[in-house]
Amino acid sequence: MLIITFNRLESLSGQIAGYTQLSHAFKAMGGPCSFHLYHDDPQALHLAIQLAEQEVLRLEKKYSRFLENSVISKINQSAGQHSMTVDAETQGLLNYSALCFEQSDGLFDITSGVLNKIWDFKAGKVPTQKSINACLKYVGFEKIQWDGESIFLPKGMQIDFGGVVKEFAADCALKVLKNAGVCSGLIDLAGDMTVLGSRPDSSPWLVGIRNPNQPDKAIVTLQMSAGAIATSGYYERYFIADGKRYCHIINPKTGWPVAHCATISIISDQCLVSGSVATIAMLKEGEAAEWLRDIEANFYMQDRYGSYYSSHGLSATGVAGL
Amino acid sequence: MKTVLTLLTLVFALSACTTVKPWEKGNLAKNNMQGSPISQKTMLDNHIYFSKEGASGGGQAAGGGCGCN
Amino acid sequence: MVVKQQEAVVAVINSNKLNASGRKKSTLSMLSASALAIPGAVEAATVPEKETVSVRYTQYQEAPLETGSVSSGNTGRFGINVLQVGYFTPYKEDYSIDTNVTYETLSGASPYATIDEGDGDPKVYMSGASIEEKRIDASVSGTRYFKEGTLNSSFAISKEKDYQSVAIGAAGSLEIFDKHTTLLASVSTSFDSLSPTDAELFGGGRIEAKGKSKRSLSFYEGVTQVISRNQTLQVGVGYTRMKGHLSDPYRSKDQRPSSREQHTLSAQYRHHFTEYHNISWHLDYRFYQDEWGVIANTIGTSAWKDLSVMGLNFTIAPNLRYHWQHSADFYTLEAAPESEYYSDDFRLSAYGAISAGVDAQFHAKDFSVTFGLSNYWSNSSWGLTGRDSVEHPALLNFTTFSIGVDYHF
Repeated sequence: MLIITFNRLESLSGQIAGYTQLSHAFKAMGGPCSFHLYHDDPQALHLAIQLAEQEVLRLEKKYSRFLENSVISKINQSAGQHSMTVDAETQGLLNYSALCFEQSDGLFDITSGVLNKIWDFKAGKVPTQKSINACLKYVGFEKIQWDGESIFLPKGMQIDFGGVVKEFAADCALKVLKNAGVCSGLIDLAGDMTVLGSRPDSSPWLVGIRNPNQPDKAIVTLQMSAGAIATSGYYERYFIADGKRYCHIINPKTGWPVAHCATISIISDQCLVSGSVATIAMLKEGEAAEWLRDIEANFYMQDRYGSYYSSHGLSATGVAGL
Repeated sequence: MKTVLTLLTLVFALSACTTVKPWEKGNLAKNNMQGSPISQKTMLDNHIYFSKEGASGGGQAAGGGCGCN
Repeated sequence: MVVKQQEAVVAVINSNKLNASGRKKSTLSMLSASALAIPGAVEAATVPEKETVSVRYTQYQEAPLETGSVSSGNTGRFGINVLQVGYFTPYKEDYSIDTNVTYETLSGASPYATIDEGDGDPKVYMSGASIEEKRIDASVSGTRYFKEGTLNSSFAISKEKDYQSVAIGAAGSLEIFDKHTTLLASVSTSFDSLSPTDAELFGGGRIEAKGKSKRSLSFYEGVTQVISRNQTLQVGVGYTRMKGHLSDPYRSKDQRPSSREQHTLSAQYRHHFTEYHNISWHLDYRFYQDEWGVIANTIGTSAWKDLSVMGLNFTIAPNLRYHWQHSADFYTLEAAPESEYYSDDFRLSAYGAISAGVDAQFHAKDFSVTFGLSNYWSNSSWGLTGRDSVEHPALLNFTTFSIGVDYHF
């Protein structure tokens, strides 16, 4: 039995005869990442792990805000100066982001990263409304020009794939592993997970959804043999000032952090979809549960008062047999 | 024919109220849940029953015969 | 190409603006499609299949008849050794080819007549000499996989010294309702020719059958339904029509009609019990009825459990089967039947049969080893309905033992 809670692995007995089991941990995408894989050929498994880690690191490097030569940095450096033609992968991610912006009525916005400049989570200080208003001028996906091939950002604006690339990398790592012949595994990129088939003895992977108030405990455990799960929660990065919690998910329309939902997990075929739907739902605040039901998402959600909501088949207690 | 139609309708009605997502099909995909997990065994068993009993069929359309029947 | 993708996305967005009510439900599928359109992202899930070679040896042994019920000949009955060799391989992206060869050697004696002199204690007349026979059977089938289903065609031949059969078949499956429902359809036809041994020497049924043929046409239509994440049900109807020389050339009193229409209604239920040790339970049922008046009910059940003992993986599967049937209209044990059609074949008599067995599979890295043992008992008083008053003395009891290896590479 193998119990996995977010960012944590407890292997009680992972060995299955005839298979090599490897857990590979590394740091990427701003957090601890790990692959838990089975293969009948240990050498092929080592190679597959290398390739998959390289893929994750490639995407991190390509889309990091902090690396000067990354595609994202180059786009941001061109703001107000010239339009930039981007490669096919970046086009795909921008198209996807545009669709999320549309579908969320403007809540999912890759231009909202500038607000992080005034919301300093390390200092734990609430900015003034005046500075928020000033900053909001540089937020709004509708203000940028995107024709499907080239992008132009008005002066002072920037984009950030923070809410996209980690999840996309999980999907890509899964593809790399699959192509390398691995058909049983779990990929965990700092809490965003994709499952590549059940374990060789056909038992499912157990994935725990973290309790937002006791982040080292699980509130629900899911049995997964395929699919992807991503979670957005107010415990990830936050500060408390005057008894109020300010988390890192900021509404691009108001410039203020969301406060209603404690944690939202989405299960779908693709980690990218799970992640962005979870983020959009966090931004929907009080309407989150209703919206998730409307779009028929598979979700587990808990609000800050401790009430939970879920789609059919996900329960708040015990193991949900997914 | 009527029975068949009724059965089909029943099955379709059932399908309308259940949705099992692709990632929930882990158990259904197990070898132990297939029609015949050991196909060679099923093949031979069916052949034996075909040649030693008075009734046959019920799976996919029957294949060839043999002198045993 | 990429520009087109963007246009497509824009078009979808616009149409959704027009149709606000339909918008929300499509959100997930639009996001999913857009995510899939990113070069390098996840493709549709297909598990790569492996090539498999399967070899299986089975020993089939019929229990001897009681000496008291045999009037003449040997009491020992058939023993058959069966060797099956199968090879399955994926071909290109969307095809697979499955080849199977079966080789059987048979020895023993069989009843050529069963006569009830009117005292309710019928006697069996066994063939004098022990028969030695060989049968080889080869089949090949190809399957094409589509996104929504499969198409399959097959060819099979079976050859014995005194019998030859050629069959072709086609089958298809179609997945609908988000793969919750699978429609199945198949058709097959066979052409058999008879050439009984020593026809001139023995005459009778053998000479009558010489050069005769037998044709069959068979249909099956079914539906497989996913009921829940742990349950599936398949329901199907089958129809087979046989025409030609259907009498048994080796029986002295066997004159059967030249056509036989058969109908089946069958169901297969699968239930995975996560709460009871992850046991997969199978329940199969078949109702059978034919033009000759044979009605049969067959119920089979098995339980499949994966075990891990000291790092070794096993599957163990006990099974139980119950079959009972009514006799054919023309079944008789009279010494000299006067009706147009008659047969004393125990397979056309009324009886009940129980078989019980167990299969065990040992799984290793690239291969699995399978053992199977089962026993079959039949008795004329075991039928739930339609019992005959006189027991056919040649009703079968048999044991099968098999060992098989599947190798994946």
